[in-house]
Amino acid sequence: MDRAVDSRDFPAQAAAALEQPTLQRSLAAMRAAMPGLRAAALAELPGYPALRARARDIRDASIGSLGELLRAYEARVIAAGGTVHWARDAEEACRIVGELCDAAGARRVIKSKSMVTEEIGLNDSLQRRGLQVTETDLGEYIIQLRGERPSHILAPALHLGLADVAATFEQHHRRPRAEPLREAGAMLAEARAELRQAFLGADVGITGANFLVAETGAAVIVTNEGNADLAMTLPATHIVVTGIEKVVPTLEDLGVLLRLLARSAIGEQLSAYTTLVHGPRRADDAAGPRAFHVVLVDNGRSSLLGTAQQPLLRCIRCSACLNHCPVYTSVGGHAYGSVYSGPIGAVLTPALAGIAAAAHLPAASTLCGRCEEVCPVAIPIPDILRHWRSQALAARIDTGSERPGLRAWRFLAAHPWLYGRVLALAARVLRLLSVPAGARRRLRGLGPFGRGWFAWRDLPAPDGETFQERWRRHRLRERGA
Amino acid sequence: MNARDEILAKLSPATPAILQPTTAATMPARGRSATRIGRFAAGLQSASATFAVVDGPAAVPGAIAAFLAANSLPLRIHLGEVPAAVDLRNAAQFEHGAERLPGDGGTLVTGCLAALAEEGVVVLASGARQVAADAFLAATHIVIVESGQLLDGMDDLWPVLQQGPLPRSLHLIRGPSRTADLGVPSRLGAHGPLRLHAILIDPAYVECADAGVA
Repeated sequence: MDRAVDSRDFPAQAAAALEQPTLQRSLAAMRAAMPGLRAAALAELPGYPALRARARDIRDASIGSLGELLRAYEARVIAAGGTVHWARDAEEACRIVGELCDAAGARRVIKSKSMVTEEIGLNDSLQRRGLQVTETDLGEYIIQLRGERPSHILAPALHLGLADVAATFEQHHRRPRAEPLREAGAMLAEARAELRQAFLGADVGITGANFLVAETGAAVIVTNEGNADLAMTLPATHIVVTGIEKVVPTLEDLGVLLRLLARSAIGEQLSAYTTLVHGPRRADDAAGPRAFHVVLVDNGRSSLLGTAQQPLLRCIRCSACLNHCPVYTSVGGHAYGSVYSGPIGAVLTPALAGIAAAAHLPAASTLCGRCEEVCPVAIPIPDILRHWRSQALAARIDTGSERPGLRAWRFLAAHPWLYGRVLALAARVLRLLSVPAGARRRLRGLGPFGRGWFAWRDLPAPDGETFQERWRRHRLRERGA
Repeated sequence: MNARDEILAKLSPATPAILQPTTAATMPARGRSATRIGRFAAGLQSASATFAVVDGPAAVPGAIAAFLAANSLPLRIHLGEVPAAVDLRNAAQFEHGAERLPGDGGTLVTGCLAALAEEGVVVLASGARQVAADAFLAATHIVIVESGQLLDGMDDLWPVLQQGPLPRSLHLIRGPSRTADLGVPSRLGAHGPLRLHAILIDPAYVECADAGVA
């Protein structure tokens, strides 16, 4: 990832996110709604566990033969009159797209939402070439106007409220207005009208791809708004920018993944628009782009093959892991400092940007495992989080007080007598510091210690006795009896 | 080494791809309790689309006019590729728009390549008589489905496509355009149509329905 990825500020950013009322309202709504929607959509799908296992197998088989599948895909795109370009890294990908725009004599570019183009920083690169780039996914459009980054894979403007959107439109849409924007419906109508003009006047349309199908040479693009369909049908040139891992063998395989994608993502059977595109317009087509290009981006993906992180390449970017994560749904996406946030971001960002820039992300997890449970392709995210933690430790990247803490724990663990004494003392002291809360006691603070923790949560208080002490007492009583 | 060769060298050895489904195609059996048409109607409804059944091609213009009137829309339509048996060009009740839709919307009437009952989807293909963009520029999209085009679900679509040739673009459309970017609930008409209405031509179904069977 060439776009300045830096998660070193994660603790401060996360703390700040907890103080943002609009963000917290959106996250609370997400916590309340998304798990239920997903669960209901999967409940009506017969044989979900088998389907999930099959989806995982399809992705693993695809990743195991990426070279063959991409060659087959490329051959079919060329046969259909399109061109396939290969980019080793972000810079090369941006250069290729920029040159294609120049060759098309383009001035105005429209885009549909694509995480890969966020990852490679395509918009900045095209704008430096003097191109006018307009994002057309509504959420992405709003954050582009505000100069912000996406805060969720599917809902990039999740951190904003209606009042923020209204203020943004009033500032950027230069149109006469009888009264201020209040209604979501009016905002939608205004954005629709503005973006319609952008679509009709664009020279190049850029989309991502959710999948590539080797069997037919299809690029598959899924949206709910229909913006990708306009971006790929109206301009004279259509450029698809996507990662090399997106390819699957056949249409049947695609069907399995499509069944799981929208259900996992938004709790719908299928998104509103699922489009398979196979090249430029045909000789007898009434309309459609004359030029069709696919840019296949590696940018660190191939280096995950054969490593413990290879299962990350299974990801279909559904964002179920974000929607179910206690960390993501508390702090939102911006705190992660990476275009990929949430659990998948916490494992993918170190893989793409290096552990030095991202050591806080795998550390910020309770390893509760919900991410793996809800992942439609069964990515073992907690295992990979642990892997990154040990990498960070081995590389001596300090994320705070963990190294002295571990050293102290090792010393105690190596001296069992002392360990027992220290624990017994701690259990009594913590008991004394705790306050009554219902039937049990809870810790609400430790004076100068652990303020970061106790600002937001409490802890159950120990019983004042360690397990070993209680066991000893139990044994004595048994012998006495 | 160029970028292509360098990336491919890292991926896997150069062997010809054998494209088989990666595992045996054993999809879970779908419920057969409801009729296919009933499931299609339910699928469309769950996608915020609407549905009507007529007994023959001659009844289509009346069904379109009724839908437009019910939604207080003008009887002005733009025609994409519609089934040959349906004559809308000479139907007296309509005013016809220009060949291409205006940029700001309008009502588009098209046929389809197929429809998927389970998902409540209509499948549109670009071609000599179908401008794909129109289906996304329209404010209202009315899709005529012939009974033979209605398939059980997505799994039945792939064999149809595998017979080829494939169009430039294939659009699986499930209801009107929507967005959740302005909060929950989703709002319709983000970029594409605000309304999607499917009209199924099925003489047998209408007879059954009249007899109280369906």
